Amino acid sequence: MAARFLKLCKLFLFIQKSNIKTAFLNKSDALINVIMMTINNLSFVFMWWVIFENKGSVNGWHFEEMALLFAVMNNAFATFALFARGIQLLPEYIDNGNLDNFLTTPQSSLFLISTSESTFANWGDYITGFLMYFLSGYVSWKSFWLMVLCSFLAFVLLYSFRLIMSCLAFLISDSQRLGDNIFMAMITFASQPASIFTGWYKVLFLTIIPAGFISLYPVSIIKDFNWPNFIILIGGVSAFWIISLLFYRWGLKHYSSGNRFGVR
Amino acid sequence: MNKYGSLFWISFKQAWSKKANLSGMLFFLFILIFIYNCLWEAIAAESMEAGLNRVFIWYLLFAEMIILSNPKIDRTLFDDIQSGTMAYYINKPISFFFMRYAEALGNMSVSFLIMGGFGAVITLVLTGTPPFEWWQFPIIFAMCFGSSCINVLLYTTVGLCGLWLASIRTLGMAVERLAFILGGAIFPLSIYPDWFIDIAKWTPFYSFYYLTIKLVYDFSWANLAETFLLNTFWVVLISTFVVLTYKKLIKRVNIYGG
Amino acid sequence: MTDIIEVSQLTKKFKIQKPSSGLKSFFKPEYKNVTAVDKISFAIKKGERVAFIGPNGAGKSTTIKMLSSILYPTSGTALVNGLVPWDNRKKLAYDIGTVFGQRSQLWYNLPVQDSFALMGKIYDLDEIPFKRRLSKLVKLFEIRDLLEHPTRSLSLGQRMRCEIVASLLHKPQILFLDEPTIGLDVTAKEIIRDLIKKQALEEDTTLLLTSHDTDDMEKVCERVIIINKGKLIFNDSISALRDSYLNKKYIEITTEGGKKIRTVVNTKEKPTKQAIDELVKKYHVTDMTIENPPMEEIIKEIYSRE
Repeated sequence: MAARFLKLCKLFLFIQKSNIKTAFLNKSDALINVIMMTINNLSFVFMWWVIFENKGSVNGWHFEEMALLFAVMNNAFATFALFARGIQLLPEYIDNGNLDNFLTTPQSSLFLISTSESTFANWGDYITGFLMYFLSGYVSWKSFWLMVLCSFLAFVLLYSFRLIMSCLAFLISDSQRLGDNIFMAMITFASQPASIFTGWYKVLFLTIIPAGFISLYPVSIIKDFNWPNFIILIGGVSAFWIISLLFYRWGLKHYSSGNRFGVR
Repeated sequence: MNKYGSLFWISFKQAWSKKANLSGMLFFLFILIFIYNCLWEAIAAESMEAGLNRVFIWYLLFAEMIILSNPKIDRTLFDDIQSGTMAYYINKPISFFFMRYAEALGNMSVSFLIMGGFGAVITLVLTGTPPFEWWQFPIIFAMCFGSSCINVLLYTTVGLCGLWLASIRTLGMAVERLAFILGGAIFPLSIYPDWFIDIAKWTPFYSFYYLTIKLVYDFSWANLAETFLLNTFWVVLISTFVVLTYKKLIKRVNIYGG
Repeated sequence: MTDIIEVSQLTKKFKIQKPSSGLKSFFKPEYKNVTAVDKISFAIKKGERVAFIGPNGAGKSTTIKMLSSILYPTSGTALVNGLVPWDNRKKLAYDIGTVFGQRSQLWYNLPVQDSFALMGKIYDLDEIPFKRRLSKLVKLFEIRDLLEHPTRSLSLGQRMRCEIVASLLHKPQILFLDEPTIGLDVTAKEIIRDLIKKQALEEDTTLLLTSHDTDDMEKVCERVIIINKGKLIFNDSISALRDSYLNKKYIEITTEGGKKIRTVVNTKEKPTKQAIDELVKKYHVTDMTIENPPMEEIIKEIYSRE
């Protein structure tokens, strides 16, 4: 088991090394893209800063909370885009039958699919993420490690959610944009002050579109650690992770390897 | 119908048949309206400005109809340039650029109309009647549709930059962000500080998005005239850029074969 | 010798959405069941080279995909090297190699050798044995000059050679080839066939090859399984097939006046050479083509004799 895991890590490093090598074929292009991405993110931050400058607070959230959210969100998305973005291509692989190539290898097909695409520009998200953490005013060793941990959990949630959306392709063809849109909706949900969702909306916020595990719980935990919230966060993320794996396994049984025709 | 009209119509029908795409788009629109309604309600409650959400959500709906209906023509053009597909069309009796533009408009129109219909119902239910008079609707709708066509044109310039750039992904994203911020496509520019509005005024985004969409809650003949004139000015400028770039591109294809 | 592949009563049904438009089909699409593979049973011995032949849509690829653990069957069983493929995907992967003619397992933009290196990692090959293995295959398949080129710049024939090398890197005992010669020109087909056979003989690899080209099986394989509409209709040696069904040659000659004459020769009664000699003597021949009977013809024959 341990040896297996070590081998997988080695393979992971090998793939990342060749990703970076490919990106650095054109060094200036790569760096410009990273900087542009950072500016992109910061312009979004600016927009929210304006709102909070104007209105002071939104249901108890201030710009400081928003900054923590940006830290978690950007770091989680960077991790997703750099190391697991391939999962977004799963619908394409299913529709054109290229999933075959991943299925005939001795490695986890999910692992190979996930690492099959990486966008170098998203290193800019890490820059934004850590910058926002230091601007939030909640800086300490404890909160730093909590932020890193929460970002990772948020990444797992993002990934699981995207995987479930990608598995739609096992059912309906041409579902690439549908999945993309729902994923985008989820990210938009997660990028708002979590306090604006109350009552039934909050239930929705933690179940069907589980954005609360990216915004609400991480922010409250980093600000002021408490065990119940932490356990809810871990529980929620693990639940989604397991559900997404079950979905994938179920989908493979229904995979038809490019033999689906008749619809366009 | 001429050939570009036919192209428009074919891609209109094709876009119409892609149900999964359309439902995904409507779902996203629904979520956006829903989220920002929550946000503006919360803000309105705290700052005692009742009805704030009604005005801003109707504004948001028209803004999203313009932004989200963009069929990513920048990616299409870029791929055509990079893969050399363009070279195969150069000897056909059709302008490659207008072909792609007509297709993109067909695509855009489907999204624009569907989002308009669906979004209006949601916005009506969530926030109440629109802030404009009924007779103003055709004018506002036409102006916004015009802006949507201009939006597609704007993205063609991004795609044509493939002539110099190895990747346009981040450039496209940057333009989108500028539209969101400088064009006030999420929050109307009026909430931004004055110095920021002064900067925005110098960009095409100001009139394409903000001034055009603002007609939704601030309609007057003077505003309409100002918007129209400014839009025309920018369209001429952008078209010049497109024509010059495209000529350069054709020349290169003629010499290097794509 | 033992059976390395055992298949019994293997069946695969697909649910296919009926093409239609309109709002109704959006909410409640109609489906129909299509049986792609219908209760197929056969066995293959270790080291055997078997062709899986049939017209388009006969179920060849579907069968291969079930045996290589890509698809789950609807019913029936199969054992490949002692394992049930769809339950032992990762374990079986070390024993089998797959080449799909219409798909690429090489990374499109990477140089071929980078793809090979990644394959080596994926199959947990150690550095030194991997290099030794690669250089052997590179020599065998004559692809030294291609190694530094990205996949996208290769011709189809060159790419196919690289694809086969990629799937042989981990020295599989069984090699599945799905339409390896599809889209290739005559010379490239010839080269690929020779290489596949040479490799299989050298390393005692069990081959299962699908094709709709009867030449592929004649040049490479010893045994042939023919399926049509999902059903197995022939399972015997190539020579048996040749004796009973492949005993015709279609000869078409063009005479000096541009007239075309088509004759069918039964090779059991008259060797092909003799038939040609007679034609050349009789007419002033300017051009000549000799063809095997097409797949559809053979299948029709098999049915008619049952």
